[in-house]
Amino acid sequence: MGKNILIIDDSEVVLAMAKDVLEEAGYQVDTATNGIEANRYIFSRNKPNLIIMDIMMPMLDGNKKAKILKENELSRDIPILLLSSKSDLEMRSLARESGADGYILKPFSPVQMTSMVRKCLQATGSMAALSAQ
Amino acid sequence: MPQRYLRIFCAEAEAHLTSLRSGLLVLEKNPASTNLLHELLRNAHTLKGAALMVGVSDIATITDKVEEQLKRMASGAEPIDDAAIDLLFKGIDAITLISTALSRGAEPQLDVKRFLAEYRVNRSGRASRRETREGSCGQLSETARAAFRTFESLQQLIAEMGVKKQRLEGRLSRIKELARWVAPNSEAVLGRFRLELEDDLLYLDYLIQELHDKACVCPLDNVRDFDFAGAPTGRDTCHA
Repeated sequence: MGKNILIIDDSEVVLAMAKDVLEEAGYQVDTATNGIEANRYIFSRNKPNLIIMDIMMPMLDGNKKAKILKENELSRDIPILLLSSKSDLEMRSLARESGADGYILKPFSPVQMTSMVRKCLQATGSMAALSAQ
Repeated sequence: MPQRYLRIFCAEAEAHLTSLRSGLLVLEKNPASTNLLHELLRNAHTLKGAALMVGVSDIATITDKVEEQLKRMASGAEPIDDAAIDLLFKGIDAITLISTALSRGAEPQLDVKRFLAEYRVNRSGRASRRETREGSCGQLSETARAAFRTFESLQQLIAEMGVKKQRLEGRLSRIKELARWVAPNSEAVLGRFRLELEDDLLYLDYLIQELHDKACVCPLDNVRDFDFAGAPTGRDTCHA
């Protein structure tokens, strides 16, 4: 079974495009339009293997949400990729501050999206294997 | 670009443009509403991101200018006055023109280069007669301003926690009863209950964390007391 990815973005078109790309690559994809709605997936028995999250969202910005998730022991092990059309420099700083595992800039191509997701999942898998030893 | 994506984009753009227009009208009457300004910024930023994704660069470029201006207004670098609001409306009208043409499959009747040049001139003219806004922070305040949405969200979370807690208590009572009567070979029933309880506990734990984090971002340091009385009348209320 493919890895489970949760995409959180308040843009319907971005959700549709990212979902299509990742499903095409063999992942199982859930979507949410804000951080509160996303909790149903994150705090469930079948929690996602990776979260891709927009920065500017209603109710709670993605970088703040990422920080909260990384501070919570129930969710801190889920890798997070931030997603935004902000500048590369801004994104690097926001990812570092929030504890996110990386970022994807909009607009992204299918290749950029899948390659970043694969890298992030591989890195997390390696870390998990190391800590299990 | 597949038509399906363009259709989703046009519907989304229309929703953002409607929010921007109505928000600007409110902002014009209530320039101190920083929460509303942040909401407008989010609308513009999301619209720009969506336009970039579907490759509608004209909308992305104009929305970027609108976003930039909103950012400057939010930081206090530009005053929020009639002229600023008018300029933002011009940007929104231009985006609407392109978006409407796109949804009809027609060519937009707008010279984007010329529009951007005029927009720039208007903004530079304003910058030369820039005014600074007076700050109101830094002293002990009788009132606290926060987005009504923030408090609404807090209330929702608290209510949800209450419901979860009651359900949890109910399940605990039932599981105690079952433990007394259940046959030794019916352990599966108890096992299922235990799993349900674990799920509820997971979610409750999250809610507590979320509530704590939300409460921590409320600027309460300079507030003497709170009064939640009075119905919300706009996008930012909550006078204390």
